[in-house]
Amino acid sequence: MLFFLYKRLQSAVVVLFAFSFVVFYLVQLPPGDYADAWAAARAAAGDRVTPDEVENIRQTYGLDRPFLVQYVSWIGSVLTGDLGYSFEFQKPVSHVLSERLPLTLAISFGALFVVYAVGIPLGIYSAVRRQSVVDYSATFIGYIGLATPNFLLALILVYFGQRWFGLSAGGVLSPEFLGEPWTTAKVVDFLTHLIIPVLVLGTAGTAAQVRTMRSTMLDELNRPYVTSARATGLPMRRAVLKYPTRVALIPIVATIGWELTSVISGAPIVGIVLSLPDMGPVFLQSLVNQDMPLAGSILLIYYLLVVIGTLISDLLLFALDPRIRQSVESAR
Amino acid sequence: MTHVLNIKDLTISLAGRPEFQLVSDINLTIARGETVALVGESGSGKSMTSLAVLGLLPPSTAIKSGEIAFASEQFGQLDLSQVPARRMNKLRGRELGMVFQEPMSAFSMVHKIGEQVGEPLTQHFRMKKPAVMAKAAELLDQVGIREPEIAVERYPFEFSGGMLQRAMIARAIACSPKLIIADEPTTALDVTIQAQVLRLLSQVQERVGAGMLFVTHDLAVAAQVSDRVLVMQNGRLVEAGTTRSTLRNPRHDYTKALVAAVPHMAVPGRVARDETTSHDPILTVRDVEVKYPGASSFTGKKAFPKRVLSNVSVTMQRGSIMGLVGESGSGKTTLARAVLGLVPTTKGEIEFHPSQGETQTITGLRPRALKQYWCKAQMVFQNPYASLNPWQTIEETLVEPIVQHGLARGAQARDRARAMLEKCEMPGDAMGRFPHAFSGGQRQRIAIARALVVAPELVVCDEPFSALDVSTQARIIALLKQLRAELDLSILLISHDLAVTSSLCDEVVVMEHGKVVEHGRSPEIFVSPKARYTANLIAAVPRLNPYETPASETAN
Amino acid sequence: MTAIDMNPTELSRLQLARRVFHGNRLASISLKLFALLIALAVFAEFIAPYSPQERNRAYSDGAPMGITFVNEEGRLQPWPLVPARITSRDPVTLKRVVRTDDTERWNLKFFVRGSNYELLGLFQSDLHLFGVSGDGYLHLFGTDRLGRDIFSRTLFAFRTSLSIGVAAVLTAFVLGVAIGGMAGYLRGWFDTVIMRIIEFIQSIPTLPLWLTVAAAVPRDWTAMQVYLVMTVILALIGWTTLARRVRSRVISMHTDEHVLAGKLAGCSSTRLFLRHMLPAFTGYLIVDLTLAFSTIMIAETSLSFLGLGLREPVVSLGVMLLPAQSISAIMLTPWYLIPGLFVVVVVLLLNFIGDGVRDAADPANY
Repeated sequence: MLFFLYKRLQSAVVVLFAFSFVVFYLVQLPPGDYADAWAAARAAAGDRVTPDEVENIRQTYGLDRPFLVQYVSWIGSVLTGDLGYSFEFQKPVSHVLSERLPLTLAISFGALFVVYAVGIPLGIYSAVRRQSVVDYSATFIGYIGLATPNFLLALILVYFGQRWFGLSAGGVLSPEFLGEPWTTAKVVDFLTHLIIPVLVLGTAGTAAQVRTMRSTMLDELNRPYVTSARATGLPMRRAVLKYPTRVALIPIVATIGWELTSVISGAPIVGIVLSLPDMGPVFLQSLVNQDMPLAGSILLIYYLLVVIGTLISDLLLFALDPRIRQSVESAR
Repeated sequence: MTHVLNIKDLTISLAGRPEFQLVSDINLTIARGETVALVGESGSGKSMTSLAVLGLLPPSTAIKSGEIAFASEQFGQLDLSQVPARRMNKLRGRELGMVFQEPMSAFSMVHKIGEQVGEPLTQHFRMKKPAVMAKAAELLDQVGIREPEIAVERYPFEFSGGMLQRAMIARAIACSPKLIIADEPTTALDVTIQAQVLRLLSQVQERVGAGMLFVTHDLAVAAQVSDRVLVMQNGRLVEAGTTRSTLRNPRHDYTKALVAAVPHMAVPGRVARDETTSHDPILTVRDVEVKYPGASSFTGKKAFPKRVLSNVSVTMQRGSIMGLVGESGSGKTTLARAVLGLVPTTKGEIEFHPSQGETQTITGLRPRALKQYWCKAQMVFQNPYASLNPWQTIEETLVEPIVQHGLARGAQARDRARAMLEKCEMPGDAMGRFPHAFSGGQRQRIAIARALVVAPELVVCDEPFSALDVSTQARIIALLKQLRAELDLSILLISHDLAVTSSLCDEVVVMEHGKVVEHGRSPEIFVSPKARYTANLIAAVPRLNPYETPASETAN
Repeated sequence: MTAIDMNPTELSRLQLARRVFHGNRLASISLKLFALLIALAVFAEFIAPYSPQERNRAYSDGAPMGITFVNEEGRLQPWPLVPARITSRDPVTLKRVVRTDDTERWNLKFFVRGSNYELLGLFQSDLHLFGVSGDGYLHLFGTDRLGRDIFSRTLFAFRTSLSIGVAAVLTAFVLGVAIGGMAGYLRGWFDTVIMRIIEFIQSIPTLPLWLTVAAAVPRDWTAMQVYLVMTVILALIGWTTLARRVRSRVISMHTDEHVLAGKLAGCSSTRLFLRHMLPAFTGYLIVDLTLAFSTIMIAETSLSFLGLGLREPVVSLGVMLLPAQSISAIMLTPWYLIPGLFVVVVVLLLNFIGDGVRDAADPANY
């Protein structure tokens, strides 16, 4: 088991390096660099920028060095725990992110929770009570969820949330609570603000999980082992929950990593649309401004979350499927 | 005599469509301690009947009329077709024990054996987990599973099919049921394992004193275990009687056909084709070894390579039918594929001696040369449902080898294909159709036609009958014999079925664990086997008349 | 010989599959609707009453206009009418105000002359499917800030998005089948390398990566260049699922009896792949394709919406959604979201079609 985890981590680290390289390469790919972006922004704001100033910035941040040198120095400092210095924010990347990471985590894992807490029971129910009202509505909502791009869903929810429930959209706190100490009212306000982003991020995933769970359950329900379990006197409900459910959970659990990937994928765009103070808007900004240390760090964090998700999924698979346990042990 | 089970005029139809009857007017009684066999070919409704007794009919079907009277210990006399679901749950597993056909799929792969075997105990006696595990171990011990305390902690995928079937029997008898229903319990097993499981079933039945409903397609198996036999055809009972009298003098035509179709083991005194003098080999297999690289496992690490064939040497004579016999995992299919160059060998040589031209070494042949070889050697596969490309018409399927091997083109190729199809006793108008239009037997004829259409000298048949019903099987065997004589073929026949082999082959090679254990001429090898394994194999074959002494003992 | 029953057995697999597909009402209708949408996109110039850049200064940020059959006197008419709009200035704020004039109706006419266009690059015309007579106007989906007709623009945008999708999906398909097929066929190191690459691509969060790649596209590139790059980016993401599917099928089919039989029949590797393997999973590939198509449509829209994909003057569904970014815009002019509904509808249709094909490809349903 430990050996297996070790192997998994090993390959994750290799991929992480490859990924960081690709990321670094892509971010610096467009002609120009942060210095140019800075100059353009200043010029647009009406300031006069002298070439000396631009050159100065370029040297301060080491942008004039060859690409590989820049990469090595960046990745080297990342390894020592230093994420670097954001050009744009004029403060260490870790500071910029520490304000925003918790929210990103809250929203992502909240969404992940919704995906499974709703998706699995609904999938089982739809499979067992096929062609019931619940099955049809789950299928219908599922289709809508799959078909609507996250940002559009966010926009629509904002529109109706505001019209019907007076849910204030955008941000994570109502203006009256800004700068206030954390009271119960403030926490409630905070949580109500999370509803829309979590729903938006979770809908597509929930839809996908309901579909997977429903179809694997339907397959499994017809297997001889279910009939044979029933032949021992197990009532239908218990037989379903004990035997096929566990088998049907295997593909679900095996893809937790992917699900987290897609939640993470959706996170920035939702953050941007709903103007949340999470990593999303900062990420977009850093890409546009070629703020390499910031963009790179955010991408690495996103990927790290995925790695964690994959590990969780492996651990659960281990607990769930003895075949995997055995194949891993025999591979030692 | 008190009946445990008394089925009266049972009719099962599709749910909501009573005019579609799957089973009609079945009458059946089983007394305590009695075994009744329900025999029929696939689709005859025998399994449907047994599921109806358990109240586990698939939702698409329903009991239309009739009564299933069951003498329950807890509730007295009951009609199982009317019992509400909750009461049925109290009967299943406790008073009704069931043994299913495929042990591999009738157990959940992700739950422990002990937990699954002990399920009836948890369910009916509310036993706690440690008690269940202890009792399950005891049950496993009773059905002859070694180290039962360890076995209960294992998972089904770590067991062999035979062991799983034993575990299933253990589960069926966990609560000492009044009635055991066994639905083709040995069909998925090898002959030697089959014999053991059948013996075990009879033993445990005697011990718990239950009645048994034994469903099977195999008359010979039924003959071994049952007191009475009921024969079903197209959802109806066509014959019923004591096993002995029914098999001795079957009255109904269908039963007669079934009895006749059961291949008999080598009849002593059968005249063998005398060809030992003509020493003209068509195929020589010398010290062949095949190793499969270990499958790449979960972590990407390679497991140990698995040796499937080791030091196999066989010589096959021109014009003969050679049988290759063994149980699953004996390497017979691998050898067959290696002979055709479809599986790379790791050691040894395979030589093919065509009637004209030079001897060819098949091992290590380049693709282009292999293609030429396939003009002379062809194969008929096991499963006619899988071996025909569903997207090609029969014509395309048959013309393809002719054209691809450059033997003929256009109308000429078509004529040749049609002629071969007709030779295989299929109508010529089958050419324009797709495989799914045909039954298993018809498809196998088409597959044979495809193999023979390039006029090969050697045909390898890989279990060509195992997917077919007995009566169809008999017809295909007749066809093969006829074609062999007509086209001067040499046939390498792979089979797990000793009876088929003994009736068809001139020579037999017996394989076990990738090795040849015996090689001899057909009647003799069955009459006086030299290897112990062969003897076991022969003794395990179910016979129509269980009181008949095994052939080996009457041998001269 | 043995009798062969006729009826469904006379049909080929393809015919059977088609029958199953059309037996699925939802899928069958979806396919027809999808065909209709494609026709709308192809003949956008003819169907749209306005050109994508044409401005109606009298009706900017205007709400969708309805059609009525009741004339100005309150009587029912057999032909469609459009309630007229009057533009005036608010005397206090001096802002332009548009209101419906119940005393006047504009006639909706079919096959009217309008702006010039070139259809399919073949012939020139100024004929439009419908329009309003005189100096009236009709904006079914409303107008944007510049007074451009959202209905007309949606048709053109739909065409752009669709063509990007088709191009990307086809590229992904060719890449997927070729690479997956080769990996499955050749195995060995090639397979290992390809699988590692696929695992890598699938394990990274796609959207952030697209964002990064899209952000790397230089600002000064022409719309056409951006368009091409976008296609490539989207295709690069899409091929992996297909390749995996093809590879695993090829590997598992290697030892299938009918494939071995084909080999014995003397087929070359290519023929074996095309005749004996590919047909068996084409159905599943089509399902994957419809799904890939939806992913790509969603991705394109999302990227353009963030301003990282296509840009004006190219009109794509995402580009049209760009002004809907601010919450105030959604509250004041919710019709900006209509092009987004097109995305939803198309993806839904593709999903239904995919389900139908999946059923049709499964021999268990014949």
